[in-house]
Amino acid sequence: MDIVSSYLSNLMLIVGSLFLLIGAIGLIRMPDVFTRMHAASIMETAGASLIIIGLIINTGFTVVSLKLIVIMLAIFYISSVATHALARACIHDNLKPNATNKESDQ
Amino acid sequence: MNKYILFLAQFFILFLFWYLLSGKNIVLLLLLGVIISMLITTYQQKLKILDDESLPIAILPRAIIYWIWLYKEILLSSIFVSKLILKFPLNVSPKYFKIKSNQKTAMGFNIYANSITMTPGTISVVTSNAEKEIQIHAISEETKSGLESGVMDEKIKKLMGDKDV
Repeated sequence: MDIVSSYLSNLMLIVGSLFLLIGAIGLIRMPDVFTRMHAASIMETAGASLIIIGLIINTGFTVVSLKLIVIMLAIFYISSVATHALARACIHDNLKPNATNKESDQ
Repeated sequence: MNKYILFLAQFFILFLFWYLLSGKNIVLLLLLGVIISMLITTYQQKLKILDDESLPIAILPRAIIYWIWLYKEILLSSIFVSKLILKFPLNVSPKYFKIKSNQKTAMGFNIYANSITMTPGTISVVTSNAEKEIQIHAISEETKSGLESGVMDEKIKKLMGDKDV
């Protein structure tokens, strides 16, 4: 049981770190600000949550794991609102996304 | 929701938060936590800001099921966007479009817009609650069609039930 949980938590930490790495690569490779936001949202949802779940499995059910759950909920709520605010500020600043479908743009 | 249930729930949440931040089983600290949580909850009820909108515990059991589904969607679309990033000749074709929502309540619309932003590959850019319309930036055709199938909208409608906050 102990071995299983330690392997599971290590696996989750590795996969979460991989998502963080891919998000960082995407931040550099993507062409404009909106597509870069998509890359960043991988990091703050999948990356952060997998790392925190791995840590929860590692510590077991204690006060620390409840604190980690609160941190995860805070990251989820704050990051989605911050992404929306950033995107809206870009539109407000007349930064048009170079999208390909002009027919549904009106 | 009954106001006594709301009172108890808010008291319990505040006390849990107190206990999380202190983390010590000392009687004096726990008693202080009970007193302060009680005072804050009483004050909130006096101000009449303790209602179904500020503390939506009525939808909590359905919300947990929805969160599990949403987390699965987040992981799936993270893998999709990761593949897009790692493809060697980078070809992204972003889409910018409007989508109509069937939500009747403001809270349901809020949950819908936030869920869209949380899922990698789609960002809700401009929202309008009066027309129930969201302008969305999607990273590719697949994430756009996944959103236009309306599965998430239906799930949130089911989550809100017959509530109209």
